Amino acid sequence: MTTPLGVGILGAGPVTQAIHLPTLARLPGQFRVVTVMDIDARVAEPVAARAGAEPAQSMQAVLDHPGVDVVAVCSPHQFHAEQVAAICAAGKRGILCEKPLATTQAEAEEIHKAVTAAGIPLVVGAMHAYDPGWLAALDACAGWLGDAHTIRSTIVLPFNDRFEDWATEIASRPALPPQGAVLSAEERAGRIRGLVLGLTIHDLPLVRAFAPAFDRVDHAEFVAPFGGVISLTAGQRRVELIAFMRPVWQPDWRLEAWAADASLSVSFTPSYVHAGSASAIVRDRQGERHITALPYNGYEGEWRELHDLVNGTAAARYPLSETVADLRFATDVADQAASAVLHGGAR
Amino acid sequence: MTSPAGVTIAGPGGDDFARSQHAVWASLPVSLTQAPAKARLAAVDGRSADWLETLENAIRPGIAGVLVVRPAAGPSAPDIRAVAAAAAGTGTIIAVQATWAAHPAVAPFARAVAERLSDITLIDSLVQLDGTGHDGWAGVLLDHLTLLRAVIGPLELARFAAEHRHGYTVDGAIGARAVAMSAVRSATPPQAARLAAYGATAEAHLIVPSGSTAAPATASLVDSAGAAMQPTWYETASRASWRRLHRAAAERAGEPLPDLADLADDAELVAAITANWKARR
Repeated sequence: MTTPLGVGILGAGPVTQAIHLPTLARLPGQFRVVTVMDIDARVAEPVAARAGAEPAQSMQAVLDHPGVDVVAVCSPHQFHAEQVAAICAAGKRGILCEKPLATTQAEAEEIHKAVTAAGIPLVVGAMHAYDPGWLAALDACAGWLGDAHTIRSTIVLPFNDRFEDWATEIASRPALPPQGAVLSAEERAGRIRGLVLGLTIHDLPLVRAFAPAFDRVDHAEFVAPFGGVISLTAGQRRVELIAFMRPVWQPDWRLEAWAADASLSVSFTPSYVHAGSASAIVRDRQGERHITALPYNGYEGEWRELHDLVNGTAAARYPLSETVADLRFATDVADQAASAVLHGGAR
Repeated sequence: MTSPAGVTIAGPGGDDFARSQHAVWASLPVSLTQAPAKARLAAVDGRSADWLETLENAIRPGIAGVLVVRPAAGPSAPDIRAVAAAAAGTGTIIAVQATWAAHPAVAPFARAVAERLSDITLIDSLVQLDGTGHDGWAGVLLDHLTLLRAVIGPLELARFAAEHRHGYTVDGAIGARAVAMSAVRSATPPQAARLAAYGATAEAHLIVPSGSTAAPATASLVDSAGAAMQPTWYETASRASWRRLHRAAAERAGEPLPDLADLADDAELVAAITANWKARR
């Protein structure tokens, strides 16, 4: 039996509190939380305490901690690149970086260099990419992935607090941006970029299983309070990205793909909660195959992956080059969608 | 008790179309009876290329109403409006049985949406089919726009439209509401149209099956109290359309239904969209 890997966590916000601490608590044989860092001691201390870990107020304190084997980067997006590079330089054994891996392509390239030089595993917290229901669906569609002509991501969710409060008891939350104000074109462009990198990004690695690259964003529109419609051309394929957060309780998180004689519909559970994996229906000329939900989700899947990679018991499911390509796809969609919004929708 | 209204097929009409209409009339024996010589109501096969001409010829004194079954795209809006004017002149009521919008669950769903959703900001609708008609995607789009009109209202602006071999995307708006419409072609089930309307405090979801059977639509409204499923309605769109036309002919004394005028408006939209849509083949 291996010793649990020591985990240091950068950032103690709702993602750490409601996703990673509950997930790590489900994997006591593989991980032990050693330290939780937040620049605000009033957050770091109670959050660390609930995991039996030490609080820290600087990244360096986490990196200097001898018990830390792997580091989870759960800080605001703009710090990811710098922190991943620092973790690599510190000689740690592995990294789980929340998505987005970075906010620009240049940052992603820096991360690529640093991680490659360090030779350590990096898992990006795109949880659906590690969801066992999705992975089973992907296997079931292996014969026609390249034939899909239409791919559609629908992410319609209540605001996060609904699910955070079922996953944990949140110690503190960042304030939401004010709602209801009339937005300028620049503000709408900024918000749709944020929408892509904060919400749509969850499923973009999955979209890439069908459409590895895209030609252009044809149309994008921001929808208040926080949503949007984005249409892409990807070679002979069409990709439609619908995302919408609003106060209504009903979640609808689906990825669909159609080929001439086959189709797939995957339904995911909402973020934060441990409600099992995705379920899916695969249809072709032979009939219909249901992939039922498994008892663990993609959050657990990504931590299991990191554990196996650090211990050398599995090969990386996603090579680093593909992880960087995922980010390039996402930032390109975000940038082109923002540009489209600035120019009235269509490009 | 009044005697059933005589019905007939206007124009040549193919055997399949005649059989389908006879089957529907047989399910309304108190209201309708097949009587070509004494017909007060007539059916026009909208899938035929010259359906508008057939309709024009069917409009005459003595014909109280005509049902145009699944009209294809093609006739221009001015031509449709001219026929509508002719019908108004003779007091002939024209009803349209659109592919999706005529499902009997749609009208009550639309009423519920109007009553309960005052703050819609996003409408997302997708049609899945195993093929296109002789008019290609234009016909599918016409049916799609008719459904949108029936549930929410007419599309007012198409910001982006593209077709490809396997479907189309139309992104537009109704007022300040964003509208995302798409069609996909796949041989796999379900062949259906779905529409979701999202508001800040409530939302509505509709799935209309293909109209070849009496399979019910799935319609639900969601708000803070929960989700309420609308009652299932096991009736074909064709039977519901005939009931509607029969009632209108009996009660409206020649006052037109809005169907043909709406169809003309939607045909105009289809022409505008398909003339400019970007081919992504």
